[in-house]
Amino acid sequence: MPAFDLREFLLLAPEILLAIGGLALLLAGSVGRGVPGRVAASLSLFFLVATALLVLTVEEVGPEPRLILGSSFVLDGFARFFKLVILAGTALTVLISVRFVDDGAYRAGEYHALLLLATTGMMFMVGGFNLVSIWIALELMALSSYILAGYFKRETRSNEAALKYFVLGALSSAILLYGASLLYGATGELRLDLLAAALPEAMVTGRLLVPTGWLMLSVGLLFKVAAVPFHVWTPDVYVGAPTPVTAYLAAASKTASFAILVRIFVQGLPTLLPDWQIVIAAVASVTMIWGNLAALTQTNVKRMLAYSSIAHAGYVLLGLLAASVIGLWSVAFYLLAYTFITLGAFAMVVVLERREYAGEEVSDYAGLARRAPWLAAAMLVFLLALTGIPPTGGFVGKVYLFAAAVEAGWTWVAVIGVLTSAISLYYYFSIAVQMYLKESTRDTPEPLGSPALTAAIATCVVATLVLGLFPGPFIEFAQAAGLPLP
Amino acid sequence: MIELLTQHGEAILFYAFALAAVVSAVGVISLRNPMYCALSLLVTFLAVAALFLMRHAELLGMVQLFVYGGGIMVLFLFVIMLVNLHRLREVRLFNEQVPIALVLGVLLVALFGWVFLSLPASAPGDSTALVSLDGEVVGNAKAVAWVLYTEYLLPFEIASIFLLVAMIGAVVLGRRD
Amino acid sequence: MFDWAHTIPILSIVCYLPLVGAVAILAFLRGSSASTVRRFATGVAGLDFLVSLPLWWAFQRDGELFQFRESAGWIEAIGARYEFGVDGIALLLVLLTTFLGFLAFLSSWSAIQEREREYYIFLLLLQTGMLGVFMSLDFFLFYVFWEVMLVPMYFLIGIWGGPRKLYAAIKFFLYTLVGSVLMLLGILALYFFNGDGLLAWPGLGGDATFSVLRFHEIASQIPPDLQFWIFLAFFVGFAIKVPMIPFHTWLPDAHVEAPTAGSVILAGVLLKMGTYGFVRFSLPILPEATRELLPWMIGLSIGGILYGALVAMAQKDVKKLVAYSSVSHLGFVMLGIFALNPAGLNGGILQMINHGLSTGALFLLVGILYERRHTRLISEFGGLSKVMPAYATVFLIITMASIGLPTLNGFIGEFTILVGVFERSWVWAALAAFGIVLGAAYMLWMYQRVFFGPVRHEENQGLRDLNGRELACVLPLVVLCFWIGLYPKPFFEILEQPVEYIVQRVDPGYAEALAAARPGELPAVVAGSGE
Repeated sequence: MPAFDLREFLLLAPEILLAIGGLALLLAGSVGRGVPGRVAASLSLFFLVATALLVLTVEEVGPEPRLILGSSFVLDGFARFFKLVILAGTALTVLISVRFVDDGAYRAGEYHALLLLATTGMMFMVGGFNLVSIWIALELMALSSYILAGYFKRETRSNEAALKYFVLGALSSAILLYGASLLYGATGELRLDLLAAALPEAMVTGRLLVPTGWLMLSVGLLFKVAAVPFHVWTPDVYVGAPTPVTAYLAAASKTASFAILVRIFVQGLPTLLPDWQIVIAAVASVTMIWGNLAALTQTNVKRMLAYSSIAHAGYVLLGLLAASVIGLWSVAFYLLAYTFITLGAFAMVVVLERREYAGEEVSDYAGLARRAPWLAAAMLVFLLALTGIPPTGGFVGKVYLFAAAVEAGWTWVAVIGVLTSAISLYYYFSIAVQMYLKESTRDTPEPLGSPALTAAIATCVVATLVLGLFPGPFIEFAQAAGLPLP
Repeated sequence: MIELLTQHGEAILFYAFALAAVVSAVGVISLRNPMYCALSLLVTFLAVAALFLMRHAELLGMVQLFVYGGGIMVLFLFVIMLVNLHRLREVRLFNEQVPIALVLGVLLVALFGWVFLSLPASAPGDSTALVSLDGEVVGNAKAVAWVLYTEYLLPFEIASIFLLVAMIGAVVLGRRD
Repeated sequence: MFDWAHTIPILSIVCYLPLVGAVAILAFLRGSSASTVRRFATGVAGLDFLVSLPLWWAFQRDGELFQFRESAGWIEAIGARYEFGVDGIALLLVLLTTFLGFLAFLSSWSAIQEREREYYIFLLLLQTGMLGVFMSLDFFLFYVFWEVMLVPMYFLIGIWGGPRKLYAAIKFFLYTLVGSVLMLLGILALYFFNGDGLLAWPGLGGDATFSVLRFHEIASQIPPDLQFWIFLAFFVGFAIKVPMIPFHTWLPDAHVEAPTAGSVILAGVLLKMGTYGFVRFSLPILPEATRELLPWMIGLSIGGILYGALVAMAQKDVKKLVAYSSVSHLGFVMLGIFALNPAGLNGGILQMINHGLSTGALFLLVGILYERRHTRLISEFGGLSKVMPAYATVFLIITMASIGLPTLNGFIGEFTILVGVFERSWVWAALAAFGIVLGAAYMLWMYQRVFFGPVRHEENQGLRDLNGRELACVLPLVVLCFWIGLYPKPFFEILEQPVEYIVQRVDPGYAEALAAARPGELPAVVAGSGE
């Protein structure tokens, strides 16, 4: 039996603190009429910041990854990086949720508690080093997300989103688990490094068990990151869910899912590299093509951003496809940039959104540059970043994803990538056209800001621009998040 | 005949229970009377419990029997009896995607058949039922407990938060306000 | 003497002054009247021109190739640096940019009547973007400016353009973006080849860098097949910008719909970014691929010359005619560049400047007419020389410059190009010369229909002639046209060294043969053509 040291729990202080935060909010919410939205949001922010500080202090990472708790978790630069990105994404989500939850008169305490618990799940996910621990953490995240997607229970679209998300999510989790169990059956290992070591032999003795196992595992993971053809749930869920939750799904949830996808593929299945590269190349290509083409015809901004997030999953897959040093850090860097860009864009949707889902159409942005020049400029920055035009973080991120693909010899996938990202300009700029080139009418919704929203948007704009103009330190930070390559 | 049973008894039992599990699982989603669905589910649970027992996973088998076959089933039946679900008789169970689902399903089954046939033949009964910890032979329950409370302690705790979230979800979404 | 050229970051100042101006408008001139913003922005552009002007004298003709160098770390992690510097070619283009930019501001005073604050902000941002493109000596930095510049141009066309502005704006943006992202792949391939290698090509193992000069150095070590692919990637990016046929279809739309200042900058500067790209990157970095693909390049250039001229002849709209004439003239520029000899390159580069001046002036003039009549159809005019004599005179001079009449700048450029091309093949030269004839035909025909004959339309009777501000816009251009036409020597002098450098890289054999056969004669050939 592996040595087991309870003191190692201390190293999980950040996760534990966050879970405690979630539970505390839950308790507070159950007293009387619940906590007011602002108080709940402030508390969540406090816990998120404290957790981030703990991550920075407790999890000092050496050059070697440190396996803890019977090797079910790992402390390495990779986990640390993604934990911080996820915490940042969650904090921004909290900021953009404040007005939204208040407007709908939904209980804030439980909402923020669920957010924190989902984030706890994500942090465990990115630190998981064992298929079981990764899976259970993934389920914690997923279940919280299902509930959050249906949180606006008086709105039919929200119910629909939750149900669709739940049924399809549960199915994909089952497939993922089945794949993991087949791999376990073939190798007898669940720990990623031992699994990797046992695979070559198992491929001989287990024959088709191994390919079937990892294919099912991939299907489950690709579903979570919303890659084509496992994306069909995304548009409906993204449109139906409360907008801050959509933002959370598109940013934090996607980041965490990508983290485990990368970790499992790179650390657990390195022997299958040539096999999964083909699958990832195919999936990345169709994802980029379909995500962008489908977005072209959308007039609902949330649905457009949903397809855009599908397309971006394709771009991120390029980095994994390369399976190189550059590939891995460009995935990390891109997800960092993407978190700010996406949350910023969705924050803008929140600004214009009204009850009953008004203010979501592209035409609702008409003349925004006149009425709210700064907000319009912020949205323009996000649109440029999503397209991948300098001087934004989206540009630097995309350049290096493409660079990784070119370096690794997947030039044709990179070509698809650059061409589709040029095409994406068309639909992103349909919003810019409305903002700058059209005049508003009487029906156009007035932008409704709040201090928290403004803070969130300002943070995202600054982050997007800084990541584009002075990406150096962040690239180094992302480079420290590399995984040992096969 | 007798010989066949003695020689392949375990295999025959395995296939029998496995078939029962699959057939009853299909019943759960295709029968129209909710009561029948619940009973089919019960059959599935029992068949799976039997499979666990055959693999000498006594603890798992018993847990399956008590928790799923007992507790969860009873809850289901209560819900079905308390809530009026008769409308289910008129609802279409499957939508127009049946053909493509059938094709994909058949393909998937074929894939698993292929995988199954590719595997090296091994007698089902050749694994030992006994687990050893540090060289000491211990029972099933002890072995599971050992792993669960050491290597998988944290995932186990996460599972508890998971259940809590499920509970909150049910309350939050179910409550009238 | 105070060595200001090497102590002050003069290029950065020139490049970012418009940006600072834009920020200032955004931050400090919030409630100001339109005329304040207009004066301020024009002042900034004028100041920028004044600041850039000393470069002309401070640039040492026989000094280092790239001068006014600025170098600083930027993104250390990937080897991208902040590198500025200009050679003679870039210097001319920088001056052209600040100069035409200033005129464009001046010309917008009456043409732009709505949303002026935003207009001048975008125009200033555009200036910064274009200047950065010409000054960057780091490929990453270059690419950033190259793309950044698209955004303000998009809005200039999209907001202040003509009736089909939305279509034209997005078409412009999409076309150029598609081209530039493919170019990006080419840049990345170079980057990796210099480093650890890519695909089947082992790299040189150098430090990660995007330095253009480093890429120039390793040019001879890049294997031909890799050169071929990178050349194609660059070609798409630059050819769309130039635009060469068959990538030209965005140009007429963008030109016709853009506001006057937009057209001036588009024709005067933006298109030069494509030809500049060929000169700065394709030729010296990918010499073998350049030589291998030469027939195609020449074919497309000559095709552009003839096609542009023929289509221009059929236009009913003056502005569209000028737009198509750009396709033709840029074909000339490309032809000169791909002659790959000093005369051709000299001519090609000078013709870039010439085209900027004369076509910029033509767009200004057409814009002035449009402001008065709100139409640009040739059939709506006639006999204008009687109503607007000064306007007609200036228009005539610029027309002559455009068709290459001796004593005017167009002649010098086209003649030098033909000298260079003739050295390669007389067939090409003959075809190109035919293009000149066609050019004269459509321009003169247009001039005749607009300015001569009786005044057929009542509305044209009362048209005002040029006012002071308008005259101030076009007169400097006229003066410059004459200067280059009569005394082009300073221009050839400043181009001599960089052109030699490029020829040495792209066609080492030619440079050697020339040096051996006719020592010291090269500058004479070039300079002599203008005297």
